[in-house]
Amino acid sequence: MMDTAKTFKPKTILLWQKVATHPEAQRILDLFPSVDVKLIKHQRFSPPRDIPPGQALLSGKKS
Amino acid sequence: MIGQASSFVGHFDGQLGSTVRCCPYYKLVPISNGCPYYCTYCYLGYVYRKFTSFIKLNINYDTMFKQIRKVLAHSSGKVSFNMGEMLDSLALDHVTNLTTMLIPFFSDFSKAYLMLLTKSCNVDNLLAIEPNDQTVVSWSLNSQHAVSKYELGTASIDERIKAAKLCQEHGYRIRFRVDPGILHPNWQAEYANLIQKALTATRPENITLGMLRLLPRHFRLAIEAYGNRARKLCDHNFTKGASDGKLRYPPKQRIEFYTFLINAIRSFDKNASISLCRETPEVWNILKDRCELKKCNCVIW
Repeated sequence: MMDTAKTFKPKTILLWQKVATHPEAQRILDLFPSVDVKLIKHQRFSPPRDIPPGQALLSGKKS
Repeated sequence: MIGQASSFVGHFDGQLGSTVRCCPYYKLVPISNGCPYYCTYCYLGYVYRKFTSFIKLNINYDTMFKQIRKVLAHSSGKVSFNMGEMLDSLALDHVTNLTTMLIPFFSDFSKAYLMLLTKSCNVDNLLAIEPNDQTVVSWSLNSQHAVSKYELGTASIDERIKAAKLCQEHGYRIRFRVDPGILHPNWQAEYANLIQKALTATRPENITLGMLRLLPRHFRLAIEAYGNRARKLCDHNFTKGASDGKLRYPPKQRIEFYTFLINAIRSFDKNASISLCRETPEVWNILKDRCELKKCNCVIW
């Protein structure tokens, strides 16, 4: 087994709109050029009700 | 997710109910909601379940440094900032570069300490900067069997020990945390092998021991997420009754496990600093003469 930390590639990055132009946000986004970026208005939101918590736990690691 | 946090620093008073205790420290949380690894027993998934467990990078670092300074301005004595309680300190360090900011920052304070804890071998940043006595790097270790079954995606034991060796040679203070200990077939040989590998390659300033402990509802979440892998992990006669509400292996098995590991460690280094973390009084009382009280991997002393 190998450490997967450095191969970590999110499929989606949720970008809070208040930091969208922050240089650090841009630097991080540049590390993942093929990522799907979704601009969001709120940082906190409830998990979707149609996805069981266990499944949400796993899928959440992709973003 | 890339966002901001209003609070990076949270005080933990060391109390987990009336009898289970750790030491007081400050939790430092620049990354929240989880990490890229898939540890079956990880409590972050449970803690953050109401917020969706996506990984959140909080990039308003100026706020983080202000909050650390504020704590220190109101503190006397040594203060530990534990960045390994709510996140893996190094798993995303190549993305955030947080250690390249935090480690030099802490060198300016004589009584403030940065405690890092990881299951990764992601130490390129650490090796590229000057170490200092204010920073302690700890590796969470387990038997390779437990790593392969229950710590998916993390560095292998050989990778972690190699990273620890490199960091120690570079001048960092290093420690190990064998936690959560897991009882599995042939656990004695596996854990003896772990201790042999770790202590042949390095000289940690402390080894802290702990065992699997989960809240009952967390067990159910883990089974829902990880299926048979979690069912097997949970297939034991766990006991209730600890003041933190968590289920644990029966005391007799925990004492047997700790005694075995303490003996294995002492066979390499009779003066090694060994501690227990988050154990109950009945286990502490049996082992108090063989471990160091009020010293554990979570804090400086």
